[in-house]
Amino acid sequence: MNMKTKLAIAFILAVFIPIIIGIIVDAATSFSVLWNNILRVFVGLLVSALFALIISSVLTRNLRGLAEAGGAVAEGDLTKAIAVSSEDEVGNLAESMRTMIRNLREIVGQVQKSTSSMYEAIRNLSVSTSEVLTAASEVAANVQNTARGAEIQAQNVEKSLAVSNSLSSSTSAIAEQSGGSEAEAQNAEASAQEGSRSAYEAHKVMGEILKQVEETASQIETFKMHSMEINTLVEGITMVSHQTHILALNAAIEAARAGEAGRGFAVVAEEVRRLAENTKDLAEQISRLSSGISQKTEDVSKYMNLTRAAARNGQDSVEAVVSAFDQINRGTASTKDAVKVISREAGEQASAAAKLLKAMEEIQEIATENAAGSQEISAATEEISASMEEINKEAKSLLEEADRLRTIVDKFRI
Amino acid sequence: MSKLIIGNIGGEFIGIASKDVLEVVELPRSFPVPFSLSHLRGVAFWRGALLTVVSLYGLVSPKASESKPSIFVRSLKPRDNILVGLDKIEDVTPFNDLSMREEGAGSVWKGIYPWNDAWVTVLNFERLISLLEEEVINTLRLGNSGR
Repeated sequence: MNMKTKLAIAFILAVFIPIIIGIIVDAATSFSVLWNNILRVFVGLLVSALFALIISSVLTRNLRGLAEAGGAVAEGDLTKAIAVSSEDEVGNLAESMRTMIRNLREIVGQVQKSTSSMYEAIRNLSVSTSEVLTAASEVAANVQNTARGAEIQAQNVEKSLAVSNSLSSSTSAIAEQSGGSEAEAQNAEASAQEGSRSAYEAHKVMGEILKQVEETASQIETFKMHSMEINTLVEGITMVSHQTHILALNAAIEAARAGEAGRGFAVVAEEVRRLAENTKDLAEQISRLSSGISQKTEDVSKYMNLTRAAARNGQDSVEAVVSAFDQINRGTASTKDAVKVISREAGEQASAAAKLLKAMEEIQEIATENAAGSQEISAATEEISASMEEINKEAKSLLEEADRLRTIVDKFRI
Repeated sequence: MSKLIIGNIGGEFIGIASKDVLEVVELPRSFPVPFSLSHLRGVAFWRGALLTVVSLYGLVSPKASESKPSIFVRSLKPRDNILVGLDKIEDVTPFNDLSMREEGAGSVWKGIYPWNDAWVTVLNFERLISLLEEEVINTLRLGNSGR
């Protein structure tokens, strides 16, 4: 029975029941008309009110259930069940509300789920953007360092290029000089060999000189002995002349004593005395000469000893020179070989230095490009960092919105 | 003809007449006499004779004490046993008494005599020997060395 029918029945009952009651009351009672009318109205009103009360109660009972259900939905409570089981419009309305609540529950459930997922996603996004922002800042800093490093690298590469250039020039010069040194080493070796031969000759000559000096020293010793013998003889002559002189003096004395007879003898004695004096003078001269010779011989002997020592020292020195030249010969031979190796290595080094120079030039170009690229990367990184800051800000804002949405959605209970 | 023997004692020229001299000798080995006078150098054996060796230091020149006689004149008169030391005999030259300036007749000095560019003090050698002999005898007899 629908609501229209129920309202019609209630109206009919409310109208006809008092009439019926009035008729019954008229029939049963004997009151005056006034009292009878008053009673009829009173009873009619009473019954009508009772019916109206019962009918309104029946009619509003399901509506209250719907109102409660609607209030619960309005409060966000979608769990409330609608206990209306009529087949009228209210029942239809209740069924529609049930369907609506069920649909709402599904939608709200989906929205809550989506909101939670979105919130989690946005939160993760925010965290990620924060991390990305931090990473981007670090990357920006690193890229800046890299850019500075690339710039310094480019500068250092430029310096290295200058050094390489200088090195290349030096190695080329060394290579050229090594070529000259090789010839010089050969000349030095030839000179050392010539010097060694000369030193051997000098050693031989020094040996001869030493032998001659030894022989001369021996002759001088002999000469010194002969000089000493001459001195001894001169002393003998001096003594003889002295005694002859005394003898002549005595002869003169004797001649004087003989008087006139001794005149001739006195002359002879005088001549003998003069001869003795002359002999003595000559002996003294010889003695002086001999002493001078002895002194000179002694000096010569000393000089000869010095000369002999000097000759021995000279021979030792020449032996040392010979030994030194032997070492020099070995050294120059080794030096020549070493200079040859150095010359070859210097040539290879010069070639390698030229290659190195070329490579350094290429490196310089690359380093310059790297420095420029690093600068660009640094600028781009800064832009990325700024964008990431914006994104992070937006993500935070979005997170707040998501949080608010989740709060709103969470108000529904399903 | 007389001759003058010119000797040198400490730089002083001394002349002795050859007639007063027996011979000129080099110093033989001499032996000192104990407690004798300082100018008695000792005694010496010479050709078998015992001779008294005398130095004329102090008599002629103070420098004579610094000299060391190397040649000796042997006296002839009055005795031939005294040797008088000289540093050196410079010359034996003819001697003329008239050329000599008399200064000390009767003493040991006979006078001075020109020789070359110098003056030679001529000794009265005989008188000197006599005095020395007396002194030697007194020394030996009295044992007085004159100290």
